[in-house]
Amino acid sequence: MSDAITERPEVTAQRRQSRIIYAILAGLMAIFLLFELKLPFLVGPQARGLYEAVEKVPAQKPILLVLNWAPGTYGENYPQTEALIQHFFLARKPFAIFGIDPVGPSLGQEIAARQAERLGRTYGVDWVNIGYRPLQLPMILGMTRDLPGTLKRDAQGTELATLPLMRGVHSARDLGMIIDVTPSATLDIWIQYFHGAVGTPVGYAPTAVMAPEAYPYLQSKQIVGMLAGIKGAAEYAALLQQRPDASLAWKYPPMRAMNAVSIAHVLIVVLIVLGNYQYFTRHRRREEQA
Amino acid sequence: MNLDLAIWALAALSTLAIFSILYRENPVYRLFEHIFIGLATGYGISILWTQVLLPNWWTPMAGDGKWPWIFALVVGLMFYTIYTPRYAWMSRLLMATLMGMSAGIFFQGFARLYIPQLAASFLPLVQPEPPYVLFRNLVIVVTIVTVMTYFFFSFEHRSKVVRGSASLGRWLLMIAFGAIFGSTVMARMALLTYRIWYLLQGRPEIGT
Repeated sequence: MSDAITERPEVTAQRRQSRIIYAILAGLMAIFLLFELKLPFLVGPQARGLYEAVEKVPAQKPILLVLNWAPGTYGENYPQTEALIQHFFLARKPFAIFGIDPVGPSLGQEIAARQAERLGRTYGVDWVNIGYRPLQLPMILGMTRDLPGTLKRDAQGTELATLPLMRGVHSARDLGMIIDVTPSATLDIWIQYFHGAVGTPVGYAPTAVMAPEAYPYLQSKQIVGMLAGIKGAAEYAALLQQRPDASLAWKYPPMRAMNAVSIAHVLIVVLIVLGNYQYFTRHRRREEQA
Repeated sequence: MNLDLAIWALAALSTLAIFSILYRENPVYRLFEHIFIGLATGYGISILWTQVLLPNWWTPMAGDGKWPWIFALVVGLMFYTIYTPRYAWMSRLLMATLMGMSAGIFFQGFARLYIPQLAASFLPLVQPEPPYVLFRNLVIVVTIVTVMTYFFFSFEHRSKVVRGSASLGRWLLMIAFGAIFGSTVMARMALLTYRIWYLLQGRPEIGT
């Protein structure tokens, strides 16, 4: 017994074409990932703005690194987080990982622990992981007034107030910066209740889908800089490589990934041109036949 | 068998199973899709208990003797009275309180979010600025005015000036949508790139 639906020949041909396109795309990406084929690359003002703002953060003021991403956006948010954490450790900027997504802080913990071991940084002094808290506005407001009193413990259950890194932190005013690494629309929270209320600088590392919405915030200087998806991570990596103390190790090298994405874009543009050419030639042929 | 290798092999199998939809709809894809949804839900519940409810509610109540925390459970359960018409007023009471509180907080936040943007859109067009800054300011001001004209529905666009402005606004909107779609393509390609990298490399430590 067979209840298979017979496809029209043109649908079958289109399906075959799609499979060929997927195969070419995957093949090209694999080549650019395996071999370091460098494409032209420029660092934009958004990534540079964030890099320079991090450099200016006073050493006694920790940075709140908000990780609101999950494995679904690993390809973009992971290299962003890895670039930022390496910068914090190299520049000796203490930071606290925090998240309003259940998975983000756990993924950040893996990166921070690995990089801390490599660069000889200490938990509680150079970094802490506060962990996950569900997004509740009273909690956000509480964080602005009494951060250790609201969040109480880190992810391991240690009282935040007892950790050397958090000793000088009482309210949002004592934070050097907030950087939101996210695929979601969470930026407004930090602008409204931290930057708008107490003037804490805010940085943003969204997925590329979310980036266009944030440009007005850059223009109004409500955010100090932005890493737009994998491109932003690659730009940040390029800036880190220029440091005299650059000792970098990547689990997923963003510049190589950006090269693969760029070649995919070239392929898409070529396919759009070819597709339009095919459409117009077919259209003209039909008109001539008619 | 090395545990890391086993984890990599399982993840690689899952990736290929999900990618199999690109060939055609198949039961392997459906199976792994359901596994993924189940895992994500289970993980979320587990994290909610271990990182939120256990340290912030259960331990203070059951371990430290702070018994008033029991009222949090009572208040939480009141939401479920929505399913019984006789006691549904209890859930409405909670929802009204939450809505009132949220509206008040959001109203304050709204001003902090948009007033700086309004101020930032008043840009100089004739100040002694470099030409590229003046050009950029002009683009921003023209875009704001023409797009707002396009969305002005209070009267019919009869005048040539208004029609032209609205038409330009529509074109500028299309350009913006094109840029947004370009970013979306980049995001999707970046996610695919990582999965290909994962399949090829199997989580190694490599410097750029």
